[in-house]
Amino acid sequence: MTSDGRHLRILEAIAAEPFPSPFARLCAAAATRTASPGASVALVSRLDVHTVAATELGATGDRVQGALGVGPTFTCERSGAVVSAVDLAHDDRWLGLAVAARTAGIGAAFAFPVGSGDGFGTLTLYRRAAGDLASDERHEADLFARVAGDLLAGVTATTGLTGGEGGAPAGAGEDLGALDPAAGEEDVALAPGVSLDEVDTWVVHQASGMVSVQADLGVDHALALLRARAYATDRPLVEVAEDVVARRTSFAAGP
Amino acid sequence: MVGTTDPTRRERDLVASFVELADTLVEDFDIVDLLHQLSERVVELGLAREAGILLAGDDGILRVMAASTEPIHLLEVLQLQNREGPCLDCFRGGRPVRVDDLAAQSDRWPTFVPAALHVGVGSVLAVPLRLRSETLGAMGLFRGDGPPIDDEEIAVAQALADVASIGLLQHRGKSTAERTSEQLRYALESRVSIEQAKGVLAERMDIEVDVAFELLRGHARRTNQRLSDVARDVVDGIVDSVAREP
Repeated sequence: MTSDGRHLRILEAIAAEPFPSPFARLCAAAATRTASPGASVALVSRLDVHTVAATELGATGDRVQGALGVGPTFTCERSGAVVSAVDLAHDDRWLGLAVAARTAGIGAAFAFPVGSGDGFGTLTLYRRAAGDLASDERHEADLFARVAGDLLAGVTATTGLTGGEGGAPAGAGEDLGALDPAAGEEDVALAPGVSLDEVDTWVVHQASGMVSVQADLGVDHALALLRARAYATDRPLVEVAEDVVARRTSFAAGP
Repeated sequence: MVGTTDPTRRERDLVASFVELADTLVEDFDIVDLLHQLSERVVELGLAREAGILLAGDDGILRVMAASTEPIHLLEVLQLQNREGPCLDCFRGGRPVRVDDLAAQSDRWPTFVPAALHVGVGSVLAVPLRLRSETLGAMGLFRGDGPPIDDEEIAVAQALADVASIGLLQHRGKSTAERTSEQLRYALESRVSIEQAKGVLAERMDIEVDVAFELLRGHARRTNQRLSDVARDVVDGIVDSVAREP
């Protein structure tokens, strides 16, 4: 029953945070309770880390990984296992990450799978200094990840978790109905009041599309080209993408 | 008690039943299997002559999941078809429904009672399959002309149902999560394709990405396709451009 008590405390901590979005609350609470200033909940697709909610450092960390296309968050999602990088500066598992992380002021990262079965996302904790999570903190991170999974599955276990909407969880049927892309809608509800529109890196994929035409490449290659440009010019990928979409930059061959 | 044996032996049987049901909770198991076991158990323990189990699927629709005999199966189906009966009342109310003398209840269930009497049912107890506030289904315990079920037996029947319900809820939780996972993954990859397609069209047709999106959507509607399918075609180069106007 100890674990039940802790689970409840986690839910209370989340409910106590002042943000309107349940995922933002979760990130804030997780950051505090695990002493990790960076916390993010993200959906991970084949190509990218799509941040649903994050603290400032969490968003930075996700972007660093998204810009490279590799990192603990990617590995976590693919393997379904917790991935710990206790000292990123000296970790050579992900090409380019050691340098990029140091530049961003991130010393350690821990990625926890969110959702069961196939898994569909991650909770990533980022710290400025190198060093492992204490076993207590690790245990709590695990619970936070589980709650994030419940949120995504449309199950809320406590009043106030979703921002004072009377605590009534959306019926699983309702939420899942909203996830059906056959509805032809771009907006997808992840949980009451949270949608895929909250992800703010779509510009990267728009730019991939444009570059694929400009450089006559498949979109995956186009994305790699964008990433390479960002790396070479030491700029955030999102900024390079914005330049492309605004037609300030082009990858078309020619004079 | 029906089919009485000495108390110690009965207690041993009960414990064994609980343990066996609880075992199924730990391993991978089949819902249908679990409910068959449950219905067989209540008969073996002498709690009923026959049993039938209704369960609500993830879609909320009640189905017959187990039945001791064909007549009982039909009796359960009848309840669903005519929307009346003790098992149905039990499911709706989330509480046991006890009918010691079925023949006296024909006003209450005008279709169910004659049909049940016809197959030799004299008394019925329906217990809910429930966990905390959620009712997942109902189990009907049917007896013939002998003495109806007593309080102690009702308690045992409910306890068995409760153990089975834990397994059902775990199973349901898992499949909901897996389905969500699939759908979310699909939605995410679709959204990525849509964003990419916006860029492809924007570049090809020399327009802004927002305009490109409107064209994609219009095209999808006119050709009666899903937006994400059109997007994938555009990205894969199968569709070169999209008409500006119908």
